[in-house]
This record gives sequence, C-alpha cells and structure tokens, in this order.
Amino acid sequence: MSGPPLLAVSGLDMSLATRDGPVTVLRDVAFSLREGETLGLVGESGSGKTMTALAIIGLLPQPGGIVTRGSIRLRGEELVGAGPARWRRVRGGEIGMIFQEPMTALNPVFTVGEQIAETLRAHEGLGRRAALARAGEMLALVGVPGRAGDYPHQLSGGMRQRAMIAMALARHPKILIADEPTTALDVTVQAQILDLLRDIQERFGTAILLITHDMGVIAEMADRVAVMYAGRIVEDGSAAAVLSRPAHPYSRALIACIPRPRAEAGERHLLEEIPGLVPSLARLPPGCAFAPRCPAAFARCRGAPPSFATGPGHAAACWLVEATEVAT
Amino acid sequence: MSLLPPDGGEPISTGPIATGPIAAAERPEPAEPTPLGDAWHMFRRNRAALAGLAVLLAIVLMTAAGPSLYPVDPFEIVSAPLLPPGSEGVPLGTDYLGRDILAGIINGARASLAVGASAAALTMAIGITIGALSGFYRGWVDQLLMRVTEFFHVLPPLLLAMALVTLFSPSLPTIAIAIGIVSWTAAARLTRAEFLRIGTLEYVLAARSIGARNRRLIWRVILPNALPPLIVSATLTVGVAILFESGLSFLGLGDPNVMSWGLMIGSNRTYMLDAWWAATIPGIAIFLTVLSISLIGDGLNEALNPRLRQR
Repeated sequence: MSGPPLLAVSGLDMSLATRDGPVTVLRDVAFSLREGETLGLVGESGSGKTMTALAIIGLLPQPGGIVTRGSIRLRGEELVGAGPARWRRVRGGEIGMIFQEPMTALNPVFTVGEQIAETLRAHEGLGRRAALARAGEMLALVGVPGRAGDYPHQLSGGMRQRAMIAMALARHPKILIADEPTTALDVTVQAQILDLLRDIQERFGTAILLITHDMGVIAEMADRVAVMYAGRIVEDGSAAAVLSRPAHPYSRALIACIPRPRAEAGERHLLEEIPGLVPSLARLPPGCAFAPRCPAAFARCRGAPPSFATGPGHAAACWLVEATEVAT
Repeated sequence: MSLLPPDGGEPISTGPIATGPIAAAERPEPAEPTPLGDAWHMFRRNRAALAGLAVLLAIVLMTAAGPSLYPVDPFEIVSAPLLPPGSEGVPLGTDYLGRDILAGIINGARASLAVGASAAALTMAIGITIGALSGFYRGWVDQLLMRVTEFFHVLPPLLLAMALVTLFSPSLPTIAIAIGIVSWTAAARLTRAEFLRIGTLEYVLAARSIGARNRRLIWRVILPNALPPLIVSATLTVGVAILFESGLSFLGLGDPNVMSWGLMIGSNRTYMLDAWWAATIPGIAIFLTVLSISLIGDGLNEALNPRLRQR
C-alpha cells in the first residue's frame, strides 16, 4: 500500500487531571493508518488504547484531558489544536467510532432509526423523511433490516452493535474506530460483527482502527498491530510478523494468553497469565514500564529503551532486541 | 422538595433480560409499544393514582364547564350571610357576606389551577435550564450557577413571594411568577444531578462521536433521558404551587378581583366557630386537588422510575 497515510499520529503525549495533579497517560504514541487498512491497537485495560482513540476524535475526558505534545494529522491536516467546529466535522463525517457496550451506547428513549436520522439531518441537511429512509437503508446494510422503528431495548446485543455501526457509518467516514467492538458480545455474535466490519471495509474502503485486548481478534482482522503498554507503544509491525515473531516480551506474553483448545482429549491446559498488574500511570517505574513484570528483565531495563527495528516495518522498544541485534 | 417514595407494593423486576441474546438473527421480542405506552401500562395498575387522575379530571371539568352550568357570580350577594349548606337556593351555603359558596368553589378553581399550572411550568423552566447548564458544562459554570441556586434556596420562600407580590400588583400572573422564582431551586438540583449522571453514559459520548453539538446533547440526548423524575417533580410542584397561591390569598395578597379558594378561607376564617362550612369547604377543595395531584405524581414516579419498571 502506498500514498500518504490517511491518519498519522506522531509523538503524542496526553495527560489527564487527577486529584494529585496531571498524570501523563500517553507517551510518544505514534502510528499511521492507510486507506482500507486495519490497524490493531492491543493492550490490557489501562494501557491507553481508548485514550488514544478519544484523542483522535477530540473527545478527551473534560475537564482535564489534554494533548500536551505531538500531532494527529488527518490527510496531512493537523488536528491538535483545531477548533470545535473543525472537530465536529471530523466526528462522524471523517472518523466514526463504535463503542464496547452496545447496551449503553444507544440512547434508550429514541428508536435506532431516529438516532441515525438525527445525525443525517444535522449534518447533511436531509429532511425528516429522507433522513429516516437513509437510516433504514443503513440499518439494512449492516444486517438489521426493518427495525428502524425499534427502541434499543427491543434489539439483541448483536443487533445493537450493528445499529451502532450503522450510526457511525451513516455519513460514510473514511476511518472507523472500533473500541473493543466485540468484547461485550457472545462468541458467535462476535464472529458475525467482525465479518460485518470486514465486509464494510471491502465495500467502502474504510480504514479501521481496531482496539482490543484480544490477540485472537487481531489475528483474524488486523493488517498491522501496535501493542500498547502503560501509555506507550512497545511494539508495532505487520500482524503476521508480530504474531509469529513477537519481539517484545509483553507481546509474547499477550500472545501466550490466547486460549488454545487442545485436540487430545483429557489433556488439561493451564491458561497463561502475565504476573503482576499494569503499573499505575502516576507511579511508573523508571526505564521500561514492563520490566517489573518481565521474565527477561536485566540491568539495562532501568533505562527507557528506544524503539529498535527488528525487521522491515517491525519495531519493538526493548533492550533485548538491541542485544540480539548486536549478537547477530 | 423530595419525591414521594413509591408505596412499595409493586413487585420489583426479577432479573435483567438485557444481557446478550445468542444470535443477531433472532428477534428478541415482538415490537412493543413506545416507552410512553409502557409507562401508561404501569400507571394504570396503580389504583390510587387512577383515582387521583379521576378526581383531577373532575375538577378540571368543573372549572371548564361549571360557570356556564351554574351561572352565579361568586362576588354577588345572593342571600343572607352564613347560611348552612343545603339552604334554599344555595347548595353549599353562603359566606360572611351572603355570597354563594358553590359559585366561589367553581370560580375559585380557575385561579388555583391556572396559578398552579403556570407557576409549576415556570418553576420547571427555570430549574431545568439552570440545572441542565450546570450539570452539562460542570466546572466554573456549575460552581457559579449552584451558588446562585443556593442563594435562592436559603431565602424564605413565603416572605420572598410576599415581597414580590407586594412590590408588583397582586394579579394572577405576578403570583405565578413569584411562586416560580421562589421554588425553582429543587428542580435545578434534580436536573443537575440527572445531567451529571447521564452525561457520563456512553450514549452521550457516542452522540458526540457522530458530531452532535452541545445544544443537541443537552436538549435532545440528555434531557429526554432525565425527564422521568422531572415529570414527577413537575406534577408535585403543581400541588405545592396551588397551596402557595392559597396561602398568599389567605394572607390577603391574592388578586382581589379574582375569586380563589385561599381568599375564601382567609375571609371566612373569623367565622369558623359559627359557620364552619364557609372556610372548610374551600379547604376541602384545596385538599382534594392537591391530594389528587400528589397521587398522580406518585403513580408517575412508579411508572417512570426505571428501577421499578418491569421490562
């Protein structure tokens, strides 16, 4: 894939106000998203995935959430510091977002059709009737035909997530941010929603920023992966490279956490887990944030590791990578 | 003002059905009525609330049709003073000047209902606006508006209303405005609390994520979801406003050209021992009206409260 990136994030630092003063929750986050591509953003809870997404659509928690450094460029245009009118055009028009909880992400007092129609009326100047008709078409497109007059509570979880996708896509944004789109759903419905996202991507060339903690979802969906830990991207590369040759111990640990059913009957398989917890962002250890939980930590990990290339388009922020580079 | 607690007789929902059904292809339940229809269904099962609604409708009907069915001027002296109910030509008796009490009840209802409804509307309008802005914008807007609210909250309402009515002419609009000005703080706090709660919910973030403006978020996204407790509060405010208007009239601060129940109680109170009916009958009218409104508010609370609603 060539051409300028649709979305380019670089050197992004972001902080949140807390009772004890501002806490930096994102450090030097950088990635790019090209047209029609799926970038997976992986990490545990609290690693900064959702904050990254919210920064991209300018919806950081207020008051207190601010981008302190870096840039977010949409087709080369800087969004950091853009005014509210510009952001409103970005939201829904250029970047759509779907959320983890389809139960709570739809307004319970309006029908799903009205909710989709409302954004079309506000932004595309459609009349009430035309907007409702378009909303119905969008719902049919995502596999919920004939339910535009239903209230969210009348739809199942999977259908609500489809309705949410229809709402996010109503104005045909080029980028769709999917924040844990399947986490709250049953496994069978998960697969259907992922199929739908792939289908939409093929049909409209939508680029997808897929946020998940599930390496299995990444393996199924992503072209490229960025692994986040404690507000920092610790490894990124093509999905194939990262999944088959993870360079950062944290990526390795995440991949080891994917449950694998064994073919042999009777054999019990203990699920892998990563010892310890994600550190508090207010009290990050000096150097590599993962070092306290890392089985391979050594003396150098007390200094923050830069990003080392481990292959074409594949890099990891870990001293071990440098060590192997030196060794070979 | 606090919301009346539900009477506890309703069965609590036994379990959430809201968590994910299995397949997207399945239709969870046949299309059912709107949330409003749902609420009416709940309301209908509350007999006390239905009785309240019937009484209030009867009072409204009397207010609308009464003056033409019983065309007696409430200010006109029709007979000897202080005739007991059941006397010739005056079914509910006469007051200390010999005016027809039934005519007073019929015509006084208009003042009570008009002032009650318009004062409640004003109360809610001020309260919802202040509370919505406060709870939506938070930060310094919230600080400022809440200090203003507290200022109004600590003023003695009756004294302030009396001062306002005395300053301007004691007419029905003035009285309604005065009641509105002294009683909006509870509605503001309630609205603010609802906005603070709903503002953090995901569908508000989702609405933002598709480019909704603040104006739309406040009025079209958050407010409709905050309505159930506000509707209950508005209903109860009507009752409070009717009492307030009666109180002002009782103290002689009502509109002297309009017959009202409070005025009737106030002017006949000195004859309580000789002619109990002259002050008691309008008192019963006030009591019935406020009671029926409270029962309706109670029923609405039950019907609209999501924690009591069965899904």
